[in-house]
Amino acid sequence: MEGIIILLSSSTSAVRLKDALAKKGFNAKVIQTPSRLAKEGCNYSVKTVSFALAEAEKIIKLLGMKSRGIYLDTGIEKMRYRPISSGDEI
Amino acid sequence: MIYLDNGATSFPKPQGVYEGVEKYLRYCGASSGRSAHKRATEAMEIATGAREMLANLFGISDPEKIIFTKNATEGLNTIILGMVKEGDKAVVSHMEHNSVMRPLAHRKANIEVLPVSEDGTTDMEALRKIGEGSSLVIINHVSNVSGAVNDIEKAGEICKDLGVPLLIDVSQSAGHFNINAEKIGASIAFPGHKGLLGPQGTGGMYLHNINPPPLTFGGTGSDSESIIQPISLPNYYESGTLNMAGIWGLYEGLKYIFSVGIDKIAQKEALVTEKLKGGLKNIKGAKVIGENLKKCGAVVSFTLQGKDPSEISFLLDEKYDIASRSGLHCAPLAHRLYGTEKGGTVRLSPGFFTTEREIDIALEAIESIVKNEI
Repeated sequence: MEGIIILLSSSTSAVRLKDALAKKGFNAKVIQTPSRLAKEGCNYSVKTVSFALAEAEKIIKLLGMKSRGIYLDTGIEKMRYRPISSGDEI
Repeated sequence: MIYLDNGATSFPKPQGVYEGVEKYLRYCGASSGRSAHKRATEAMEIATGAREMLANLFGISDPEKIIFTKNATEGLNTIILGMVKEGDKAVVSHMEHNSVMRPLAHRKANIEVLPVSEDGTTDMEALRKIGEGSSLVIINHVSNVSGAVNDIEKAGEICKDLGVPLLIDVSQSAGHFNINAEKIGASIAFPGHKGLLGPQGTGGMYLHNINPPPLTFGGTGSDSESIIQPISLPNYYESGTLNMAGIWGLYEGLKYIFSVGIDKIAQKEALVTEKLKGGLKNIKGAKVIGENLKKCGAVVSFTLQGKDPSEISFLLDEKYDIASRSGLHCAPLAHRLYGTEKGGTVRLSPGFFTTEREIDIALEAIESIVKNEI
C-alpha cells in the first residue's frame, strides 16, 4: 500500500502511535522497518495513509516519542521511499 | 485452603488472568518486539497495554520508562548494583528485604540504617543528616514482616533536597496503595505477581533520572546491525525474549485492579487485616509484631508464647488447611528490631479476595493451637 512510513525507536512507540492514529480513524499498521530505511538494523515503523502525516507528527510530539524519520512510500520500486522528515536524534 | 500468604505471592488471581495466560499460549504464542506478523503485533499490543496501565498506576507520564523484569529483585539489583560502587554509602530503612541488603553487601557498600520512629515506621527526618553524600537511598514502602508503611513522600522530599537518588521497594504496596513515583521523584521496583495479581515471572522497574547499566546485554529486536546495546527505553534493559505469557496475565491483573480501583482494594484489605490483628490481640499468649502501627499494609506477623513459629505454620497447614509463612521472611533487619531474629514469626498476609469468614476460621485455628486442641 502507498502511504507514509514513520520510523520509531521501539515496538512500544510503534504500537502507541498506531493505536492513537486508529483512534482518530486512520488506517495504520505496525511493520518492520524496510531494511533500506533502517540505518542501524531491525526496528519498527508505523505505516499509514499519507494524509495522516500531520496527525502523526502531532501525536509523536504529544506523547514525547522520537521518530527516526518519516518517508513517503511511493509504491514505485525505482524510487520507493522519499524522505519527508529526518526524525529526532535518538 | 485458606490462603493467607499473599505477601509471598497472591492467590487466587482474577479469572481474566488465567484466561489471559491460556489465550496467549493457545492462540497467540508469538514474541513481542521481534516480528511484525499479526500474532506478534497482538503480543506487542498487550505488552504496550500493560506498560500503559503500569505507568498510569504509578503516576509515570511515559510508559516507555516502564521496564519489564522477571520480579522485583531483578529491578532492585539492576538499580543497586548500577548506582552503588564498592565502599559507597547507601542508606536504607530499618525494614529492608534481602533483595536490597544482599546486592549492597555484594558491593561492600557502607550501609547506614535509618532509625525507627516511635510509631514503628522509619524515622525519615534522620535521613536529612544520614543521607548526605550517599550514592543511593533505598526505602521499603511496606514491611513484609510487620506491614509498617513508610512515608515515601517525605523520603522523596528529603532526597530531592539532598540531591540523592531514591529507590523505593514497592513489593508489598504495588496494587495495594496509591504510588506516584514521578511526583515523589523516586525509582521503583515491583513484582507483578503479588498485589498486581499477575503470574510469577513478571515484574518491572521505573528509573527516575538515573541510568544504571543493564544486568544483561543481548538481543532487543532493534538496531540489530550494531553489537552495541541500544540506549533507547525500554530496550536498553530488556534483552532476550519477554515472558509474554506472564505479561498477558499481568495485563489482565492490571485490568482487574483498574476495574475495582485501588481505594476499594485498600479499604477491603484494611478491613480484613484489622479484623485479624484485633482477633490476635485477644488470644492469650499471642504477640502481634508492630501492634500499634497507625497505618499498615495487609501483613500481620505474630508469635505465640512457648511455641515455635515453624510448628505453628505446620499445624495451620496440616490440621486447618491454612497457608502462612514462618521464619525471617528474608528480612533480618526487621526481625532484629522486633527481637524475633531467633525463630522468626508466623506471617499471615490477607489479600483482596480474603473473606472475613476466612479470618474468623484462622483465628479459631490459632486459638486451638494455643489451647493445644489440635
